[in-house]
Amino acid sequence: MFIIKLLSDFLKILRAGQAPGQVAGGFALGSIVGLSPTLTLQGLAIWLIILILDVNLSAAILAFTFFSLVAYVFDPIFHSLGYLLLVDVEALKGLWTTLYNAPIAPLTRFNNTVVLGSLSVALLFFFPLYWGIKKLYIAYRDHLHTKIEQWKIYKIVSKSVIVQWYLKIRDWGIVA
Amino acid sequence: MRTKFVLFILFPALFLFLLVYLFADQWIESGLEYSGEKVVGAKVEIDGLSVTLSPVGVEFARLQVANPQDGWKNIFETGKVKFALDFGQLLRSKFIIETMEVNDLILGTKRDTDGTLEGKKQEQTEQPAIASASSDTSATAPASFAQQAAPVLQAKEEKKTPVFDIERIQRELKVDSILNVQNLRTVQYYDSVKQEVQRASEQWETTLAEIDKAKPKLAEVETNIKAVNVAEIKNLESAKSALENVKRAYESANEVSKSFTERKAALTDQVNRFSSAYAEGERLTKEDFNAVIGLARLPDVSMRGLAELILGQEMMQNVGKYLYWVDFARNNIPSGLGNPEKEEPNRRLEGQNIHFPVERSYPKLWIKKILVSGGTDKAQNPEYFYLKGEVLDISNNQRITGQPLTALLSGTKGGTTSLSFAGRFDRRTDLPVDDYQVKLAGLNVGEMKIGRSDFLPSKITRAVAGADVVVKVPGNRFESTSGIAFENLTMVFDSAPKNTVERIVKDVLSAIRGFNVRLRLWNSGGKFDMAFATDLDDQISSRTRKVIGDEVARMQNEIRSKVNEKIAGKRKEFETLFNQKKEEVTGKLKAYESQVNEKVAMVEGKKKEVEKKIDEETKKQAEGVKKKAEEKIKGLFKKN
Repeated sequence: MFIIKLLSDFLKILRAGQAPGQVAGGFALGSIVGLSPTLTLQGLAIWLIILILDVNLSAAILAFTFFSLVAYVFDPIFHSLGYLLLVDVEALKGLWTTLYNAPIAPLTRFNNTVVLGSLSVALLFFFPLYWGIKKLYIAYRDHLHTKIEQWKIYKIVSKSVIVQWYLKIRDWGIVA
Repeated sequence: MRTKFVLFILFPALFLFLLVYLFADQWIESGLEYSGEKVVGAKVEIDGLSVTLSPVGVEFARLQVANPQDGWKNIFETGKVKFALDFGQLLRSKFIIETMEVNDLILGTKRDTDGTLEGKKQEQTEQPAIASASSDTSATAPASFAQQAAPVLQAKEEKKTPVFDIERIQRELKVDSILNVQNLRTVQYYDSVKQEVQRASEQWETTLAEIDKAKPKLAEVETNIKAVNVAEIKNLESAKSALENVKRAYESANEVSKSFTERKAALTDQVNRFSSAYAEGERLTKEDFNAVIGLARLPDVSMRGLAELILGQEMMQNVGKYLYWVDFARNNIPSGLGNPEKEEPNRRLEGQNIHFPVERSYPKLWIKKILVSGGTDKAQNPEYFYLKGEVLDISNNQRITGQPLTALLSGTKGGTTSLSFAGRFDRRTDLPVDDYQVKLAGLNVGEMKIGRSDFLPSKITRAVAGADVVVKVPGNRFESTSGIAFENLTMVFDSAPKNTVERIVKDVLSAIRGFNVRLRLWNSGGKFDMAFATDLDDQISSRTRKVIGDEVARMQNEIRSKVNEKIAGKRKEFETLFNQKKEEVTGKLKAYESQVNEKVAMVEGKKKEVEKKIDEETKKQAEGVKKKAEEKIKGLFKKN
């Protein structure tokens, strides 16, 4: 079921009619929450942005799922990066102390090495990811889309209950 | 932008906000009541709560906290209560209140409804059934102070009423039946000493016989001395020879005298040793008397402890109630040493939380100051105490605030009774320390039961009481001293006195207008102990002495004379034998002593006579020599 869902999400993204920016934006934003190890205030804010802005929700969900799985592998790197920023960079200590004593900032869990490390990496790769996905999507739409639509698997998946349900909601205009 | 989505979110959000706005007051009220009930163990009711947004705070019109020991009364109730929360800390889920205003704090008000919680009601009805189960659990959990003190309080409450019926004692007292000679230690003692005297007298006889053996030697001395006739001494040589004889006799006499003196001293010492038997006999007589008095079960005329019997039951019940609150404070003021909250393990690498210097650390809950006002005098109900003062630093973690919880409250009731309470509850170190001081003055005691169902059941119907209670609870130790003074009291007795002592106590209580009680309760090594003292004891005691003292004294004298009679016979036997033997010994010793002294004096006299004779003969001889010399010199001159 999970595999079908993921596959259908992927196919929906590749569906014609969506602007490349919307797809790339959804994917890039989804990557930020996907890399974060736990629910944080900034995570909620990103989800709200995803829902409010007219970005591709499927791309965001796909990115969230994909990066959540991938992040396990990179957690030690995130930890090291977070430790470096929190402890080793003297210039930032004043900022962290101020945030630590501020009322709302602790809810972001910025003082956790993995949270800060993963957020830093996500923000660092946000625009490259946005640009890369956009290019990839344009290339797909121009060259591969018609061929893939002829695939038997694509036809099965696109007619599945989940996809039909999604299309119905999309037609209400709530999601992209 | 997804405008439809925004609307989709916005409308529910607005609806939710409206819902929260409309019902927040009720939800917060219910939440506070629930939390309060969990702590107190009885109903907590808040009326008219409203939440203010600027500043973020709460105010309510009335708060009632029911008494878990008596559901129809409140521990206290308040008028309007108002406080503001630190918004910045609220965002961190911390409830920090700078100042809470509490108006019209009243103690012990009556309730319209039962304030016992439903669960507690059920427990109370099922209490007998679960009593055994709860005692099992108490074996593992540390015992509360109330549980620790329960045995000593119960023992005081159930103290047996002693037999005070003098008339019955008079009827039933059979002195002869309790006077078993075998049980009188004095009789046994005199028997034993008499036998010792008998044995010792044999030894004395032997010593006297030894002294007798010196008699021939004394006779020989006498013969030798008499043989020296000074008148018959004609020259110096015979005088010197006589002196030698006298000196030998003198040495013999001295030898006999010295030996006699030593034996006499030993004998006198042995005899005198038995003279001290009288003192020991007197001491044992007193012991025998007290033992017989004990068997006769005569009451102690001092009547010590009677006041405790009268006042104890009510006092112990009150002490039990107060200990409940000591335990309550100990258990409900958090020490900040609780177990850390359980955290859900993170499936991903949890990372490391880096902590930075905090400008100010706050506990979860901190009410820095509660200002309590007792309301205006005009509006006060004279039945209740209205308190004013302040309570400082209520927090869930005193180690963070660095401040102990302190309370300084004072109040009045009806303009005549005053109450002050000073409390300090320190949880900043591993050893929790609680100190309280309560002072009460001018309390009108409406009705207070005294006496017991089996001893002068009665009650104080009117009195003015004052109390000063100091309690210190460092760790598991407990020390409290209470001084209670009753004045201007009137008593009512439920029934007529049943015996003399009840009559006496009634007379005393009817006559007195006040008394003081001091109560000390402490634990050492986990065991509670109690000391109860009152000047009422002195009053009852002096009155008792007047009324029944004479009768008891007469009965005591009767017993004393019977005891003395039994002992006197044996004492006489001992005395007769001892005096007889003593006289024998001393008589013989005196006779020997005079003989010895006489012989020694005789020898000394003879010695002096002989020495004088020698002097005379020496002079005579010197003069003869002188005369011969003169004659020779004269002859020489004549020849020339």
